[in-house]
Amino acid sequence: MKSKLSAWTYVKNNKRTVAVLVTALALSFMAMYAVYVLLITTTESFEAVIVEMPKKVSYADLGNQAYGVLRDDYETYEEFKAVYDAKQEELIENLREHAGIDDALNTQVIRNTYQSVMGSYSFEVPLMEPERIPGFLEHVDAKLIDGAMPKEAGEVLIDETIMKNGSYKIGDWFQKDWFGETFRIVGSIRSKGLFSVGVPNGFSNNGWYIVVYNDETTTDLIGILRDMGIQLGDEDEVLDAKEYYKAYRKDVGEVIDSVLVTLFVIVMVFLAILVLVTYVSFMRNRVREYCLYASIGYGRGEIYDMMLREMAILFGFGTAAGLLISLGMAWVIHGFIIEPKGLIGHVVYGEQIFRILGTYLFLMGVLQIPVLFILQRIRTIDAIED
Amino acid sequence: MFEVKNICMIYDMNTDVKTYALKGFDLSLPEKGLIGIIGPSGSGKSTLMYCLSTLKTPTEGSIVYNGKELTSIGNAQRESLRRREFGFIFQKHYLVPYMTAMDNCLVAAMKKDAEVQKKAESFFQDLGLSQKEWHKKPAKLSGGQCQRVAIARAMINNPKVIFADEPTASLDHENAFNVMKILKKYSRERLVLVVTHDRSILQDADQIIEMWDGEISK
Repeated sequence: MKSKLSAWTYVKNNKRTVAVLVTALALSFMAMYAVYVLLITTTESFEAVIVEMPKKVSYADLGNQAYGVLRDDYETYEEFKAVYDAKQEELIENLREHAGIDDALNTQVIRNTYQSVMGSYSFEVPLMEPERIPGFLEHVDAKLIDGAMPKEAGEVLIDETIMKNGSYKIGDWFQKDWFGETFRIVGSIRSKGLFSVGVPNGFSNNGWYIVVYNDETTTDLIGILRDMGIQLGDEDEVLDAKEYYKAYRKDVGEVIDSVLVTLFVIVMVFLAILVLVTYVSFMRNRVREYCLYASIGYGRGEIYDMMLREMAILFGFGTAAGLLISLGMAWVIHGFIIEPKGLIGHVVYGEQIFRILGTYLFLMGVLQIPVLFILQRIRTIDAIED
Repeated sequence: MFEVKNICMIYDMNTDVKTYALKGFDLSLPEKGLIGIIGPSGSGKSTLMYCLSTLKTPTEGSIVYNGKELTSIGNAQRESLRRREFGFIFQKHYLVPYMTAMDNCLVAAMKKDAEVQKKAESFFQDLGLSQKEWHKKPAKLSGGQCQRVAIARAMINNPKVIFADEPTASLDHENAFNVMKILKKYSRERLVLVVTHDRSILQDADQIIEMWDGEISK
């Protein structure tokens, strides 16, 4: 069997050129992967709140029109208020009796903020009387892991991840706002939905909501309310699974996706140009070599085969090096940024690795254009010397 | 070994003034021996060598090599012949710049095993290349050393014919003499065709073909 042209000879003898290409491929791999790790942690972290939280609790802030109670129909405010309160109480009772709903209560909420690498996400923290808190924790599968249960007005339990995220510790004031130091953290809890809960302080809240203790079969609060005869209008706010997810897609998903796609395209275009220019340059420098091979009896197919194997070696090394440094970089990002900030993320994202591999395969495909062009320029040495 | 009939090579076929590199002559070459093809620049000696070695196809005429008509065979057969049965020494050595002398020699080898490696080492020794030069790249070798590597590359498959185009053009007198001595030795068993315009290197030639203006003059 006749021997092939070795693809390793070039690699062994041109370490600098090979190193430039391999480094470019590896760094581009790392850039695409690291950016993905940093940004996707935002999506993943917020997903805990967006997906898990509404499986347990939904919120509804309904105006009087939703109950069919109009102010103009009553002479005095007291009359109107009495009917409105009665309707609201009736709705709460109906909700409590609905299958799959453990409880419902009309209570105040404050907002909590989950800060990620890119942007932040705000969600509700219900405020209730201390005696109701154990029931709430039981419903949301939350456990007190440190500190004590709230007993006094203005005491709150904060999820351990959110505490890490906000660099809080037990005893700290939570959410200093225009009212000053208003809520004190007395304990930390652990739950899948990153729940927090507290006792009202009497003056600081973000509104009154009907807090519904639903389960996974009753996450469509809007549907349930409509079935109960509630006429939802623009001024009404219902935060159920669908609404959370809609807001998440709009405020987080679409933004992150578009940033990821844009960065991916920029890196790819930069890489494609770099690799094309470098590759064309190093092939052009080797035309005489290819001509020698053709002269001493190697066919174009054999020369092309060697070019492909050389390309495969370069991309193989570039990809392997890229994968290694990417995972290393992801580990560092995870250990020094994601984990300490109480964010959720991973080191290995298979889909992104496959996406980059696919892109590199595509790049190898694009490189066939200059390779085939160079192949057409190969002559035997007699043509060079003529 | 070669039977050439009425070989004709015309350049610029599509123009009004045609250039005849070879003007239609017959030639017969033996199976072994050192054959010199001599003539001034433009006499057609290199064209003749390239036609015989399948690198060029003559416009007219026939070249029969060991009973095979070379003018009508396909590319794959031409490549196979060049690879298996012919060896080439070009005017410029055409060594691959990034390869060592050894790699440059082995690049033409049909097999790349320990036996071939030993053979290359033996050629290098015979050609006067010291062991430390085997692993040097062409830029670190003198012109004579590069040409000797090219000779070793041409001989690595024990070809039936070696085509040498001005093999001593870039060498001093001593190196030129040594190269011709090696080729003479090889020609005891095989055919070596040397194209040159320097008659002095053909002192030991078994036959000299003189060319002039695309024809054999002697």
